[in-house]
Amino acid sequence: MKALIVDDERLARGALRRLLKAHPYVEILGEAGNSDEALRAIRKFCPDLLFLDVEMPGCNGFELLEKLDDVPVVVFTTAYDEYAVRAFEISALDYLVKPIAPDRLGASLARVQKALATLSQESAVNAPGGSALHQVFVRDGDRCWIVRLTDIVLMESVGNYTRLHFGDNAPLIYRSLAAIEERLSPTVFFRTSRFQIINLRCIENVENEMEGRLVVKLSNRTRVEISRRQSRRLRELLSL
Amino acid sequence: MQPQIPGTKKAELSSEGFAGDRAYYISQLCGWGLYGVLQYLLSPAPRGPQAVLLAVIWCGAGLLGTHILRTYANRKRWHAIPQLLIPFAIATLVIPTAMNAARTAVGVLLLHQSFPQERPWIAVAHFVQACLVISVWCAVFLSAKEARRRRLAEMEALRLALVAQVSQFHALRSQLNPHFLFNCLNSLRELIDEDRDRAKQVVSLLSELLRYTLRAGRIETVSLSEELQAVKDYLSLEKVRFEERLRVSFDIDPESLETKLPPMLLQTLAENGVKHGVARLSAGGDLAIVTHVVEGNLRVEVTNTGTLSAATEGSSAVGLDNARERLRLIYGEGASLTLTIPEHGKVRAAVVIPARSNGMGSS
Repeated sequence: MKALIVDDERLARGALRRLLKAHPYVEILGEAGNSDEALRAIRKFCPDLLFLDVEMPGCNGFELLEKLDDVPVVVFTTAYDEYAVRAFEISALDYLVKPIAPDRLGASLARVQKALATLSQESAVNAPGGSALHQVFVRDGDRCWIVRLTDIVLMESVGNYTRLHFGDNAPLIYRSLAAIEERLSPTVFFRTSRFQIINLRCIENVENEMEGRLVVKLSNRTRVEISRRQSRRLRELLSL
Repeated sequence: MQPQIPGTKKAELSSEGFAGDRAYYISQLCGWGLYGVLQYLLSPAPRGPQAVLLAVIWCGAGLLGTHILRTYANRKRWHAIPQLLIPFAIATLVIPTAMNAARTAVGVLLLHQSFPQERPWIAVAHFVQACLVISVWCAVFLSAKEARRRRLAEMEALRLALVAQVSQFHALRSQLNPHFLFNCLNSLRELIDEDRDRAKQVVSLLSELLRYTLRAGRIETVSLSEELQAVKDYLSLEKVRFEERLRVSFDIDPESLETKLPPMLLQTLAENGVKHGVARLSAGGDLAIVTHVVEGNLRVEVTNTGTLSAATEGSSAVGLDNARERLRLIYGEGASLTLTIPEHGKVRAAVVIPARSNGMGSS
């Protein structure tokens, strides 16, 4: 397991490094003391796991994640921040409060290992060859999520933003639909129009409308009408 | 520690205090006495001991009846007017009946008067008169009770407002930021392995600071020299975390050292400066603390590298608002806390504290 430690305090990084010695399967690729260093290191090393301090100079941990195309598994660390902790509860795999208790770190690493196993299995199916986990970080006001792309039911273009529908949520992400599409597996996602991409695995049923057009009903109960040309392609894809 | 507020003990607010009882007995005796005298004087019957006895019996029965009514109402804890209306209406009929019965009984049995059936109009007139008297009694009693209830409600509201203000004052006392504390402990954990002597030093500094913070919760004002010592401890601890990123300088007017200020005030400003200066800057920043006495007033300035927007958002704005509110509660309008930009990339928090510091507790 390749890990990167991001914290602006040298002693805090040292403390975590020392604690991780007890877990030899964790290989520490490096440390970063601010978000710029972190960004460079993440792009260079592509770690599986990020220990990320939320409060940092420059931009905070959340802003850092927003800049990433591919978000690794994240374990947040914080000294004390109720708001941040609330945010982690939705998004992060786990979070650790400083000073970190050794047992707590062990439990956290076990969860990470489990999650990595599942994620890499899935990404191997979705995009063979790539090691990326295909996750994005999304923030909407106080709430934030780390979402697996395959969990997204529908993506809609809204100007320079894209609205991601997953679960009961539909936050906006500052990235164009085209930019997102580049990273999507064509076997899972289908572009129904200039403004929409649907997840083929989330199709509940397909109805034939007039003039050979299809209407797709998705698992989140949205109906998507598809143009004649795209309907033809979708039929081929789904071998209807 | 529970704040003690004078003159608001709960017992004094109970609805049936001793003072209330005495007022009741006096008005009851005076009222019925006056009525008895009038009854005697205005009665068409011939005067004499018999008439006196009848008037005493008549009024005594009324007094007893109304007293039983009041005792009953109190025992049942009827305090609201709507609850009292029906029992009082019934009493307005029952008590006059009892008064009439007592008077008739005494008249017939002791004074050998003729039975009132022979003179029914007199009995009816007595009954009607008694009904009127009891109605008036009820009206007076109810309005007195209502007036008393309102006064108590008002007192209770005032007491609550005072309690709220005192607890607000205590809440405003700045405490050590838990975020700082846990970061400090985290650094300490690493230092124990890395640099034992430094770790020991951190433990001492942290103990001193915690002791000061605990004491700050109990006292009104401290001398600037005491507060400065705590701020120095605090900044030394922050230097353990931020290392060379935090650069601190002091310029202290010796004259200012013995002036008084609320405890943790300068500490709050220093903490703000660190939080919004150094903590946000990868390259670190400066923190300068300057104090001087101007026209007898203490002026304290904390200047840090950073931007004003950072210093006035979120939790920090709350911290500064709390500090302002504390100053207002202690010094009224005499003290001030302002944020300015002395030069580009710097933020200055300045506090002015009036020379004669009239603390809330001291008179």
